[in-house]
Amino acid sequence: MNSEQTAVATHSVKDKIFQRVPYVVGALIGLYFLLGAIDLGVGTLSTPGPGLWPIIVAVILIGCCVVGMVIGGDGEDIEEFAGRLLRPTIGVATLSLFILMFSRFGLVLSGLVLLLIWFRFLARETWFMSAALAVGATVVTYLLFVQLLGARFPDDVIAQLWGGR
Amino acid sequence: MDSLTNLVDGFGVILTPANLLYVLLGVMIGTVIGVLPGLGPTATIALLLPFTYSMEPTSAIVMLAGVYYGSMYGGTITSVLLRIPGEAASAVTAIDGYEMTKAGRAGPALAISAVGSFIGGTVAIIGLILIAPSLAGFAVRFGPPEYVTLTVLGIVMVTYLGTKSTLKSVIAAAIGLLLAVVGTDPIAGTTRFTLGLPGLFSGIDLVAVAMGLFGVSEILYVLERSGQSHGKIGEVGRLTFSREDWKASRGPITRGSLLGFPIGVLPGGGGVLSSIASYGIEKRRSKHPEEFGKGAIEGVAGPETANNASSISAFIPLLTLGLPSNAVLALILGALMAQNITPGPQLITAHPELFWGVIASMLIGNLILLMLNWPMVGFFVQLLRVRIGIIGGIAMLITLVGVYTLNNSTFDMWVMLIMGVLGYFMRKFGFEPAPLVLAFVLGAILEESFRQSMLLSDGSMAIFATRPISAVLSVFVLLFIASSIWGAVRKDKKHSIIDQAKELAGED
Repeated sequence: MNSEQTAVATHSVKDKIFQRVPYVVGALIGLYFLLGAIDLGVGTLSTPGPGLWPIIVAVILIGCCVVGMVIGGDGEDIEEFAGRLLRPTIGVATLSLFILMFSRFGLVLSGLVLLLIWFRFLARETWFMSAALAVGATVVTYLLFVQLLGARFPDDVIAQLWGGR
Repeated sequence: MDSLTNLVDGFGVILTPANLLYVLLGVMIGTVIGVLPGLGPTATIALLLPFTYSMEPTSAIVMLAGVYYGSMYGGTITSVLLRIPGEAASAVTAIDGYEMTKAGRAGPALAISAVGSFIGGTVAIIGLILIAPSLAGFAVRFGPPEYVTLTVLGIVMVTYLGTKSTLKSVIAAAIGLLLAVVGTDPIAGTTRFTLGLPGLFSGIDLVAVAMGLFGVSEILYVLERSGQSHGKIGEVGRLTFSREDWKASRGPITRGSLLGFPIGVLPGGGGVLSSIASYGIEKRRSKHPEEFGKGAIEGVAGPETANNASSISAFIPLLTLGLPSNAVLALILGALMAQNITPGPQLITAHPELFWGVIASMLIGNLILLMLNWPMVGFFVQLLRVRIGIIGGIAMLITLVGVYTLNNSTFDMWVMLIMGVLGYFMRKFGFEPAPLVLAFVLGAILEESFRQSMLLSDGSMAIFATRPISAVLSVFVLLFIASSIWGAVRKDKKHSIIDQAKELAGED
């Protein structure tokens, strides 16, 4: 009984800290801009320097974040993270992979890899279905942007096999 | 009568095969994404922006506008049939609309919303024609101090009217203003906060920010729960309504049109707020409020009319003042800027073909939507069978490639991804991304006008209080700030009309 109560208590302290995370991050962003703006030169009100405006905004931001830290979050707005981050993390990781591959191999190969992963693991299609959809969607995107809109992408290692760019 | 001849000229611009096709394309895409949960109008317009660069300015805006009001129609379909709002403005429709579906009355619900949307849209277009030219004529006299107070009022109202915590909205807006500072100082020419990255010297690209905060973050967010399957899709039945239905809906449709129009003009207003407000008012006025939430047709007719009316009137501030009133309009501003057109009081006289063409296209687009809805509801519903991972994957590929074409650099892709992650965490922590994007867009105008005002007044803040227009606007700014603080101090969460309406609607 006793240990259960403690568990509940620690949980809520954790929650209280957790709810304040965005305010701390916001205040740090404000501080970064504040210090940078002072370096840029404030000037005076009659001859404003490049730093004056960012200082005004940064002070408002820091002020609001401090208020947020003091009065705390209205916890009801905050959603559960636990156990839900896996799929968005896979999403971000594959998008990063796409950007890295895109500048080296062009659109087709990177697009195929991105879509195959998304269709197979995030949409849970079968391998066959995923592959078919990925090829289809990548080809359509290639035709749309490169052929129709004339976009200039990094040299495409796959399209070159067929005489494309 | 001047407006009438101009409008006829506008029809002349739109009634070309190419432009008609863009209207059709816009409203079709809008309806489809309105149906699909997880891809709202903001994300879609961000997605389409790269395609508009090679188009005629009028065609581009006509198509993007069609996406916006088309999505209002599309969102209704899933709200009514599945209790899944395809986009936020249709959330209240889901309450009574879905109850009607369960009672086998999906047909009347969809039919009355289509008719209501059409009437609301048309009333708003007439209002736009009547008000916009004189407002623009008035705004020509605005100088830097007026623009400062007007943009500040806009940002304050966005945070005040937002559907979540005011404090959080202010924080989001302040971050947006700071991100707008990054790049080269417009007056002194020094670079600011560029971290030494050449990609940041010309500032952070609006399209990359908007695509990240709305497109990428929305997809990441729905990825979380995409394992869930949709419920059974209700029977649509015949898409007609009875004479009794019409009698019950007449009042809500009239009030919805009149309510949606002014709310759309307000910064931060737009579809969500107007539909919630309409629902609240109808419930309060009703002789049988107990039927609300159990399938009252008034609870469908009013909000659907109001959100469509507001999606049209939201164009007024952009077309007359050059100030976007919500995130969708901020992106349309971006599209205009990319075409070297700076919207403002001069737009109507400098580019009449654009202004009147867009208005004519709205009349045609609303008519197309009314006609499309009937035969195609069945097809749109089938779209829901496509899994979000598939839509998301394709949307991500097009978004990434599209953002690359902005400056032919992978830098913008990274900016977009970072903004997407930021937007995802903002959503999780209860922050709305809209105030950030809106403040980001208004930031440059605001800073420049502020510094010009200071130069004009030799450093005296009194300039905002001594000129009549900016004085009036300043009073409003102070009133809104005071009211927000007062509400917070009293720990009174029900300070805004939305909260009250939400209370009535029994929604979270």
